Formats: sequence, structure tokens, C-alpha cells
Amino acid sequence: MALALRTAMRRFSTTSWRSSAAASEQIGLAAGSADHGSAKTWKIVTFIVAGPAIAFCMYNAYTGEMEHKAHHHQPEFVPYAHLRIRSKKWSN
Amino acid sequence: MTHQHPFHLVDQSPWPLTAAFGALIMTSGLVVWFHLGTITLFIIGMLATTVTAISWWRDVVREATFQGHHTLVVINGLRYGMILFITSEVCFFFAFFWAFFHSSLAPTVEIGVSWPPTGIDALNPFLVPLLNTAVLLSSGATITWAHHSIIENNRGEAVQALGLTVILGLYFTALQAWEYLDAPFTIADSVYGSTFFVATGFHGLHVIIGTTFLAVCFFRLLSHHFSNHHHFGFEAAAWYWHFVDVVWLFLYVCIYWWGS
Repeated sequence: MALALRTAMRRFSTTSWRSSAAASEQIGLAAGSADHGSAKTWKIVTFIVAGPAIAFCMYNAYTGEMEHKAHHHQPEFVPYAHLRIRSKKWSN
Repeated sequence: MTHQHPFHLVDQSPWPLTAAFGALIMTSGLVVWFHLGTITLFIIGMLATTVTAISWWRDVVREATFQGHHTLVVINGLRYGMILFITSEVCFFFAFFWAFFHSSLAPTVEIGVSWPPTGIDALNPFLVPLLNTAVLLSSGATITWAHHSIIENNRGEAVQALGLTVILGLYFTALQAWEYLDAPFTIADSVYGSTFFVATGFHGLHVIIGTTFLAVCFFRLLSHHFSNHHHFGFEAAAWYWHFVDVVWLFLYVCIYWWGS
């Protein structure tokens, strides 16, 4: 029984090895042919979508922060108990 | 070493042991720093862990790229490993999101029965945080461009795309660092500060780790380590990077937007 099991395992491992190698070759071929131009797609997404989006967000964040600093006044200090918690000796 | 099987029986190595000691000394050092004020033990632990990481992964690259031990079977095992690791990281972040929702869904009387708590000036989610979101989403596009370029054997574009991805990662870190310095609240400002800085802080640490992983892949790409059909190191880095991006999206929606 042990011999039968070992033979079965050997047959299984070589078959699965061969089929997985063949399968990945097929996937590789398919990927090569079907996705040819897919790099181009993501290159387009990068420069046409992502680039302007980042540029807009940079402009928006910069002007928003400048505006915030301009008109924002420091609120009146209230010594709330739940803020500025100091439970360790090394803090100020 | 010739063998009639496709598996990789690794040589003896000191790195697992030094990793364990490094991690123990690093975490113990963190505790000493927090409670006793000295940072020395933490620095030693961090150095030990960093040297181990560099040495261990350098050995993996040697075994794979230069000695040819990484067969399809071995790579399959590595895939499982990376997927399991990322799953464990999902569990890690789940805990901090639980903590955030525990405190924010039912704000206590001590913080003013409101979220954000009384006296907390939350960050405007539509300024720098929105820019950070655009940066990370764009880096997801650039890394996909890089991956397809590698598969299509387009070396020039792969280098360009992966380089852009690393730059975007660094830009995110710089923006977050500025936000941290500029924020009107600190980690000591009630449970709001705790949940905000612990969740975004660990995320930032993962961005730095991910950017480092990508940078290593960048230099390996320049050194011709990857082929159009064998580039698992790059794939693992890409999976990790997408994970980091998804965590940010959750952080942005839940903590920055809903929590403001």
C-alpha cells in the first residue's frame, strides 16, 4: 500500500508539475497577446487621469491651506480635562 | 546542489534567530523608552532588526536570481506566504479601526458627547488628505503600468513607471509628515488624538516599508534581476503597495471624512 501511495504521489506530482508549467505557459502566452497594449492603457491612465488629478489636488490643497492660515484665528484656550493629557514623566 | 525535486531546502542561516532577538530587543526598547526615557535599547534593537532584514532578503535574492532555486513550486509557496502575511496585516489594522469606531460611534460625556470631541479642530479632509488620496491612487496606476511593462519586456517604461511609483510614495510620506507637524491636535488630545495618530501612524510606517520594498525592486529591475515571466519579488511589492493604498482609502473615508 505504501508503494502504491508513493507511485500515485509521484505520478500526481509530475502530472501537476507538467500541467502547472503548461498552464502558466498558456497564461503567459495569453497575457502576452491579450494584454499587449495593457501597459499602454495604464500609461495613459497615469498621464491623462492621475497627473491632472494630482495637479488639481495640489493647487486645491495649497490655496486652501493659505486661505485657512489667513483668516483662521487661534480659538480661546479652554483647559479641557480630556485634552493635553500628560501621563508620562518625560513629557513637558 | 543537484536534486531530483523542485523544492528548495534552504541552507542553515542565522537570520531567523537574529530576527527574533532583534524584534524582542526593539519592542522591549520601545517600552523602556516610553516608561524610563532612554532610547538606547530601542536603537540597538532597530539596528539588529534592520541588519537582519537586509541580510536575510539579500540571501533570498542570491538563492533565487543567482542560484536558480526558485522554481514554480517554490514561487507558489511564496505567493501563499505573501497573501497570508498581508492577511495578518489586515487583521492588525482591523483592530485599530475597531478602536476608532468604539470611541467615535458612542462618544462619552468626558469628551463632550460629540465626535470630534469638544475642543478638537479636525483636519479639513478636502485639502491635504484629498491630495494624499490622489497621490496613492495614482501610484496604484503607475505600479500597474510598471507591471505590464515588465511582462511586455519594455524595460525603459518599466523603470520609468516604477521610479514614478517610488517618487509618489515619498511624496505621500512628505505630505503626511507636514500634516503631522502642522496639525492643531496631538496624540495626547483625548481618544481622538490616540486613534488618529496610532491608525495613521502605523499606516505611514507601512507606506515607508512599502516604498522601501518598491525601491529595492527598482534597483533589482535596473540590475536585470527580473524577466518578463519571473518577477515575483516585484509582484509581492505590488500586492503590498495595493494593500497600503486600500488601508489609506479606509482611513480617509472613516477617520478623515466621516470623523470630521
